[in-house]
Amino acid sequence: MNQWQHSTKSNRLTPEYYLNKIEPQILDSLNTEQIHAVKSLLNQAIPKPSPKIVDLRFTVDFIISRFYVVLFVGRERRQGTRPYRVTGITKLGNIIAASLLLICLNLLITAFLFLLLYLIKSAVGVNLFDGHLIDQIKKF
Amino acid sequence: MYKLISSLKNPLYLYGGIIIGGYTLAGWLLAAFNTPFWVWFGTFLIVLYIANSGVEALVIANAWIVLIMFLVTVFKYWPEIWPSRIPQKEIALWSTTIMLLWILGIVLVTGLALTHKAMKRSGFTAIQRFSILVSLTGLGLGGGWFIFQAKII
Repeated sequence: MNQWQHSTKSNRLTPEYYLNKIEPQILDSLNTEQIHAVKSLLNQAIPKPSPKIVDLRFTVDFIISRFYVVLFVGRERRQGTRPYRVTGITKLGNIIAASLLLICLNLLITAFLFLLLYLIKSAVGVNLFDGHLIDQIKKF
Repeated sequence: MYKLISSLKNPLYLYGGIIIGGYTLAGWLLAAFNTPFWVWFGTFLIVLYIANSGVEALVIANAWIVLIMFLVTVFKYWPEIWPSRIPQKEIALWSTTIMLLWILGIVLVTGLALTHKAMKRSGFTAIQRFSILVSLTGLGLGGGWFIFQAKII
């Protein structure tokens, strides 16, 4: 048996994984030098994710459907183009979904920060205006 | 006896105890704040939602907590059985209390979601997870409401 034929699922996206996809008789016919050359080529061809400063992934379950949210922050090394064109109703759907998601997240984060800062301000005894917050709101 | 003691070491019992205790406190607080029906109803819907979806429900559950705490802060809701001078005169104590209640809310929803995760890992089916979590939480919230109404504490 060839030395490359011990592959597991964890070897996925490694040169060994792809080498094991070659027909055993062809793989056996290759000498060590040729295998190293193929392996080196595969190593260059396999995409490697760039290191990220922020790598946040979570799922939001809306009962009828589940959505995943991914936030990456890292140095710009992307090609900048999609391998496929997004047009028509998909493009419109993307814009609407992204806008709604951003508005909802924005509102949630703003409310969270406002509440947190207001309570911290009150806890440390800083008084920016007379009376309570509701009194100021009523004035408007 | 050894088997009983060993089974009590299972973190699921710890989670169960925390859920009952924590949600009893939450039920007591909701009753003490004289919470309207829609808040009780919304809170129970969130519990059902977490019992069904686990950690994937945390974003919406936290949005609900932010909304409730926002209303409590803006309208200065305060239990009648606690000294009324606190929200009027002792602002630092009032805001610290509100922040602690907020933290309690986050701990409770996260605890429920983590229990869901631990139960899933232990091999409980979706129906078992849902029914056990809803029963424990419902028991806690109802128990807390009863303790407040009966003036036990």
